[in-house]
Amino acid sequence: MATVTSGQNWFASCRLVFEYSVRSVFIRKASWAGTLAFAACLAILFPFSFGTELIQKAEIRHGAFWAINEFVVALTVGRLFTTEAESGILEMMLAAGLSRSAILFGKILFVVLYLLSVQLPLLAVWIVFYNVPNAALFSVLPTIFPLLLLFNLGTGTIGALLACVTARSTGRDLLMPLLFYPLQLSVLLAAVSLATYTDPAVVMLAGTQGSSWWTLLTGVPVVFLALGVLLSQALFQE
Amino acid sequence: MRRRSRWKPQEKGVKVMNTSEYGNISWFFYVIAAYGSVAASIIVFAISCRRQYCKAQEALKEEGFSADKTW
Amino acid sequence: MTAQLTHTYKRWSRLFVPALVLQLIAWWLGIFWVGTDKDQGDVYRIIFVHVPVAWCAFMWIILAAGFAVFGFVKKKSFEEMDRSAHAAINLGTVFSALALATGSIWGRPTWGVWWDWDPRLTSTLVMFLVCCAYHVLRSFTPDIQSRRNSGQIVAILAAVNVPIVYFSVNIWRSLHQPQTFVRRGGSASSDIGLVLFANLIAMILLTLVLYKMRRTAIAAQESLEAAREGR
Repeated sequence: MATVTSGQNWFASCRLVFEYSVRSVFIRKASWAGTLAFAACLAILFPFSFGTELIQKAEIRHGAFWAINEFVVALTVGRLFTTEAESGILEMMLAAGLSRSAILFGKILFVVLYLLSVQLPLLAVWIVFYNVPNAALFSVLPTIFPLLLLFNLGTGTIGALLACVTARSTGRDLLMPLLFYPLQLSVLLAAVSLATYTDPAVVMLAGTQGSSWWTLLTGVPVVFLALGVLLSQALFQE
Repeated sequence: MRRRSRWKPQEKGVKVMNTSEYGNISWFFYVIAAYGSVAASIIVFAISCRRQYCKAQEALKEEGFSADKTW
Repeated sequence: MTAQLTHTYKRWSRLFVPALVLQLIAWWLGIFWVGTDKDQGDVYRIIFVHVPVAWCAFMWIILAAGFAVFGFVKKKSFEEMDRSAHAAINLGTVFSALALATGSIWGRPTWGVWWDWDPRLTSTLVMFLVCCAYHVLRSFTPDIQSRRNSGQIVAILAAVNVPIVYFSVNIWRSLHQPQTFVRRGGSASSDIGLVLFANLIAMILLTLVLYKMRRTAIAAQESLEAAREGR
């Protein structure tokens, strides 16, 4: 691992945080595999909750995929910064003069790619277990990758901000979902609507408003990232 | 001095209800539930503010602390 | 307890009864004075309590965010602004809960359901949840400085989130079903507008008194905690 020295440039700091996060998760492969297994379990449990007939409906099918995503997101976001805080690496980074915004960006980048690494196999599981028809598959596949990236970006930004806010609080497992879900609601709504739009089996009352949803998906991370940069001094207290 | 007549709602075509005209009780129930819940909440909130303040004041006196910081 | 804090509390608590009486007069106007609506009948009178309560909820949440921003900008006033934001969010929580309750009570006879995923009600619900999370965060954070920091940040996030959620739920609703509550073609009677305005002013004045009472109580509580910890 690169030595922590003061005055490293911003991108190097970002990369340092990203690399550390990746190593701390993938050094114990069970962590990533466990998350994937958890998501796969949920994907199997949903048909039992709704019934296998109802799960064939396009809206329920898409809704189930994003609901499982939300559980995965809660697991990921709840563990942000815990390894750094426990091992003292975060204090070291701050003492070494690493830019606080770089730490935040590095962590957000990690969340985006980590979530994607779980979502892509989950997508395969979803296609198989939910009998996604070819027509729906071919219409959703072109948009799913940018959609997942933007969803993860919005989620990661809000999650990273809140992970910093709750870093010195007890009962984080309760606090994080309580704070996170209301703030992330608009990102979820946008992702579900855009994914459901593409399915030819879904009938919408009004005309498509895809551009509004894409605007929201790009706007939310920008707004929260800007807040994160402005409040970075308060977010990372030494 | 000439007195100006006071404006009455009926003169402006506004129908003013008398209590004897309230026939259907169900709308009354909803209205009272709404207004009552707001009134009750406001009074409870004010009482809780008073209790918090008095409790802190008594504790400061009992424990012998002299003064608070800036408010 | 300094004379100033006691004086402040007594002054504002004396104003509570007059402010409440003013509000009761405004309510009397709404229930008994103004006429019946030709579409909704008499149940529309809930508007005179629901709309002011909802507006006050939003007003105090935005003010809390304003206090938080001011606290970050002027470090010297950080402690005071935190207390102000805490009191404001307190009020925002109570009034958003009341807005949801009165909205539901109004919705039942009007729409036939206790809850509809109306953008305004939904964004109020989300705001209420974030306010509750604010209080849980404060009680779960033992260190006072961290508590102040986290609280201020969440107050800003709560205010920023409100228009985003409103915008997104608005688009979402328009896709799934048409508006269940349609605005009437003609404009509202000026008497209704006047009474609504009177209720709004009375509610704002009442919440201002409540804010001052809560703020002084919080200051007293934190003074006690600081004295005990020897800060």
